[in-house]
Amino acid sequence: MAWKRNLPYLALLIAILFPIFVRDPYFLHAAIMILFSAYLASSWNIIGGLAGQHSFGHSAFLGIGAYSSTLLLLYLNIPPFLGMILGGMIASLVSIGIGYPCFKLRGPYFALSTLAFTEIFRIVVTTTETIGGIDLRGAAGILIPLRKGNSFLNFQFADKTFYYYIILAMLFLILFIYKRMEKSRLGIFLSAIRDNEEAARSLGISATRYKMIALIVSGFFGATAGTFYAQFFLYIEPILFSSALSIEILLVAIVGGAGTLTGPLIGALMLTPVSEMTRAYLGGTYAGVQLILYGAILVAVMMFAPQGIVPPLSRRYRSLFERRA
Amino acid sequence: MAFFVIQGLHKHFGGLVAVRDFSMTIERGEIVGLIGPNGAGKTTLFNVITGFHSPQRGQILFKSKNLVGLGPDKICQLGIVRTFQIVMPFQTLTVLDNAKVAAFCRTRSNEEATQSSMEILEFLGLKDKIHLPAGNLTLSQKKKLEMARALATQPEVLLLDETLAGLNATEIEGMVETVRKIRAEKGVAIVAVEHVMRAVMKISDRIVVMDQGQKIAEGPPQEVVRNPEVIKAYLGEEYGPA
Amino acid sequence: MFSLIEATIGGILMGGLYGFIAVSLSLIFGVAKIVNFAHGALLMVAMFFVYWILVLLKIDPYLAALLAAAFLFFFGYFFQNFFIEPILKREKETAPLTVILLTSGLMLMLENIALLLFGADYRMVKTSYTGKSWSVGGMMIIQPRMIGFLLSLILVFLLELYLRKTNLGRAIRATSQDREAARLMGIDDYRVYKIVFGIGTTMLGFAGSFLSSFYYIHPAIGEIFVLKSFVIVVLGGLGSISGALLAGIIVGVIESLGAQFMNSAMTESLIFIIFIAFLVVKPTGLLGKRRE
Repeated sequence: MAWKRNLPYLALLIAILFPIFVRDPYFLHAAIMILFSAYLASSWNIIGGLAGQHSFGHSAFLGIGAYSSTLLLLYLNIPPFLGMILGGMIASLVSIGIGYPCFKLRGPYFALSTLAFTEIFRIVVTTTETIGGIDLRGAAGILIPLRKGNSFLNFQFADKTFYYYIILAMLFLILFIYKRMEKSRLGIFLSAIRDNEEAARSLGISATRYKMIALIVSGFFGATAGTFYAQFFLYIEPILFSSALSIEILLVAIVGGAGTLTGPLIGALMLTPVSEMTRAYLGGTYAGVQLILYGAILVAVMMFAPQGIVPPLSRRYRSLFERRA
Repeated sequence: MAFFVIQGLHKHFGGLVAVRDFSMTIERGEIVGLIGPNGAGKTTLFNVITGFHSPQRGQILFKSKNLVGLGPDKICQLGIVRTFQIVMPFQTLTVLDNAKVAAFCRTRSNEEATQSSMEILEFLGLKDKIHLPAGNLTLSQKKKLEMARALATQPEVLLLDETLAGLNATEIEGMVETVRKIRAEKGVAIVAVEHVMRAVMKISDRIVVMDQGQKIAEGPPQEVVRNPEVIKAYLGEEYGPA
Repeated sequence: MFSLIEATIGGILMGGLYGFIAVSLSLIFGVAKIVNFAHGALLMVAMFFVYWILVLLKIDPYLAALLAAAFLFFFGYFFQNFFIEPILKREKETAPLTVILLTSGLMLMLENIALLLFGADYRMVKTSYTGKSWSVGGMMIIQPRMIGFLLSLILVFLLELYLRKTNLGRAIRATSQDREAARLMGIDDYRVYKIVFGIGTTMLGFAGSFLSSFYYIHPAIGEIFVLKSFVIVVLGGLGSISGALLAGIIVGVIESLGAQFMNSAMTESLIFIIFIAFLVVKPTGLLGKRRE
């Protein structure tokens, strides 16, 4: 049984050693995409899984992060790592504006209002050419000037291995934070709100305040993912704000298991290879086919395993964790 | 200073009057049974007291502070807590965590919350279940958990909503004892909505009867049960006063 | 001034159709409590169905409407029966998220299968009256829009009659008001949901054929319609057919007038902003009957 308990450490070890043994750039790229997807889904997991508020507008944060750090770089020469933090803070501020009206609503109305918000952002960014002298380029998107070599200052690396370790570290960090949150006062409050908001309120919890906190944290990390995206692909466009992307993000978390620590990671491990492989084999029409499969997986998961993959598996682990606790 | 006073409470939903010009007082540490036929407005009364609904008229004064207009979380912090007719445990949390949710109402410290939760859970006989997910408990255990949660907020007034529904005779005996213990050891004032008559009679210092949103009788259990208006409310015209 | 009136009329006509689509959503959402994110995608399916019937069988879209309606009815009934019902039965309360995600998955599939099969080109149905308009008092009224508008009103009227006069219609209304009570009265609520979903998609079949004569056809147009429909349903008040129609017309007029002053994409965001403001201030909508 000991090997089961050590599984997380083994996985971490494999992850760290991966780029050393696997040199093929295609696989490295795929691995980066998996980790990125897991990171993004984990950021959603804070508001959607732990707090149980199923936001359909998470791509708004991705977009805000990407555009913030990029514009700060292009206009104020702020290094992207710093821009990442600033972008996160901007997203947190915006999340307050989003949360305030949306948290007054429940269930499907909440989902729809978050979706409406991200669509508003998409439309505004697509149709606005310039705001106060800043050129958003609308639907054409913004290209980030290529800098040669490997540089942390520029957050650009010719050697993709750097990106791999950065996103791995980010993922480790967010999972660590999530785990600490789960058992903390905040985490227990959020779980209570998720399970039964009325009962939670009757026990003295200000549901709105804590949901807002969860959204602020979730927004911050979602935005940091946006900066990573921008610096990895060196191109950003309004489609980052689309509601379809929001659905993809939450799909990853849901398939793996929303509200669990490893759910988003498992979801990413399952879904990202699907999209990478369809891209490899079907080239031009790839975008469509990948989504057909995503749609089918979504339908199948909802029919047969709406909790996702992790919860049924983790029941076997639970006795293990009980003894640890 | 009066402890807990409800004055002239009036709550309607559209055309339906749920609570009509209702007044009552509660003394520190007393157990009040609240009875009445179904639909009498008892649960609505609880909902209004705990801030889930706003009354159109009336005041609720707890230690001279008006509760009307405050949210449920604020009211709980002031010291008034309720249990629900249909148990509402936090399914994905353990029994211990369920209690901690409530305990955190009084402290920010994880250690303190854990400790006071453990104490209450032990008091209610749930000590060996603390690491189980709340969803796995039996009904009577869930009801105890519901009570443990409420007690963990260290209330001064505890509103119990049909705690005995669905329990068998032994479990009812046990619960009655528990409620007695709670009042004896914690000094909490209790208002219990109940349909199980013999339990209500045994345990209440005083009974208030509601029918169609109004208070129709009040007094010691023996008196109330012989009151013709009360009999009429439950059994209908033929059994009422001639 | 003149163009404003013309725009307003155009907005009313389009709005009527929006309202019609919203009514179909309101039926599904209101009675069966199902958040159908695939609603727009199903409309898109109807439009393509009508398009191909025209191209392959040379049947006029308005005649093909009946075929489209029948096709969509069976599709909706089938989907409700095999996919949604098991979930409703499994989860005791109407599980909002599971069904939302299920229908989102359906939407993703329908849209991208259409994209794969038909490509991303914009298509138009070309008939004898496409692009024709009547001149009334010097203003242009586009024929297909007017026809679509009138037919929609007629169909909604028929729907109202059906709901009020027939037994099944009464069963539907009963279920939407209180499903527990309806069940106790002997109504099989699962059958009601199937029928309602079928009626909803049938209406989409009609709407698709009305739209095809003047609206472009593209695999992704469902996305615009689904959000707009939800906005209209909420604005009009859940459970109110006349509310949905009225709200649809209002949205159509706002869009149309807005397009006179700003680009059309911005008018879309205007509608979303109004939506959010409405949800916060008056969640029951303009004519809504639902209590919170």
